[in-house]
Amino acid sequence: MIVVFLLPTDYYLLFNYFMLIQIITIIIVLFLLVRVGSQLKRKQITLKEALLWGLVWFGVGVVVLYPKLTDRLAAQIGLQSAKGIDLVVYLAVAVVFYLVFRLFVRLEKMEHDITKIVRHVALKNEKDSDPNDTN
Amino acid sequence: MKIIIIIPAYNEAAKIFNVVQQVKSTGYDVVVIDDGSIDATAEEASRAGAKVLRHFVNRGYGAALTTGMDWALRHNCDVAVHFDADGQHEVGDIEKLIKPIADNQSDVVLGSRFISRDVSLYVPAIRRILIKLAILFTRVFSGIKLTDAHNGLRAFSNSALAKIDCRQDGMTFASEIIDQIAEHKLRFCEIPVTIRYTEYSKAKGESNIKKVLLGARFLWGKIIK
Repeated sequence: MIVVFLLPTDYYLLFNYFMLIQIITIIIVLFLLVRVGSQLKRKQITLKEALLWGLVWFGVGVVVLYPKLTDRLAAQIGLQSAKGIDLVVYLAVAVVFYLVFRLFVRLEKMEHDITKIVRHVALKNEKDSDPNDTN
Repeated sequence: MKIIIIIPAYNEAAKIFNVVQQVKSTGYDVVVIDDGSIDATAEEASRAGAKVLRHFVNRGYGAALTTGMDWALRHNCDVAVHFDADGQHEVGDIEKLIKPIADNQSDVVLGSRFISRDVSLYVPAIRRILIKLAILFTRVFSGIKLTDAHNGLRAFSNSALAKIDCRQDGMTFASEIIDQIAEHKLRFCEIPVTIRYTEYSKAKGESNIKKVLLGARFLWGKIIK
């Protein structure tokens, strides 16, 4: 129950649903951090990727534990009326949009590569079956 | 002059034998691209005397035609003609399509079902509107003015085959090929052809909504090319 000790003291006063969500999120974040570590160990991802994902999940953890931080950040970049958590949502949506776009582009490239392979095989098989026939 | 008729086919076992036989009876060589069919399309085409190339996975209309055009280029064909496998085209139109290329007046010849005021031509109303929209779409995005869109009958000279580089696998190929004509500034013309809308070809065709989405799909492919 390390998680509980990590929480800021004033949170012990009101153990409510919000806190429950925090604990669950922290557990998930820790799990994901461990996973990033083990993936790095098995060399499934590069150090750069591991650091990036580690930072992302660490950031999520910090925001969950200290939501007030985001209010200060939001105020600093000029979002006076917005709550900090809104900023987090904006950024998250932007990141998701970007990732979806990248996925689409990559998917398209893969589709194209598959077609190239299929075409190559089709043309090659024709050659193998009767090399002299040019129809 | 070496002429090849390219027929892309996906699960067309019921029709392909007759279509290939009809084309062959006019003296042209046929290459059928079996686009990963799960029925006997390849066997039927081969039985009718066509050269058969097989995609072992279904890759789409555009991918199949590009494979056929690659093949034609490798075999130094002077003219390559696209012909649909479902029997909606007239074999007699092939000759008309080849002529402008043989006369060296054109690099690309496109079939059009609207050029002649043929009263016997029946095109379903919704289809007619969609084609009109597609024509407008082509004009806006590729800058080429045509009287028909997505007509399956096309003919290409050897030099056109060498220049055209199509990447879109699906039905959007029909838009992309027009785009390629504009990009490489190929000489093109349109020739009146006949389309027969049979129950079979209507059932095989894509839904109208899918046809509208093709426009978006084409633009997306153009952006990330």
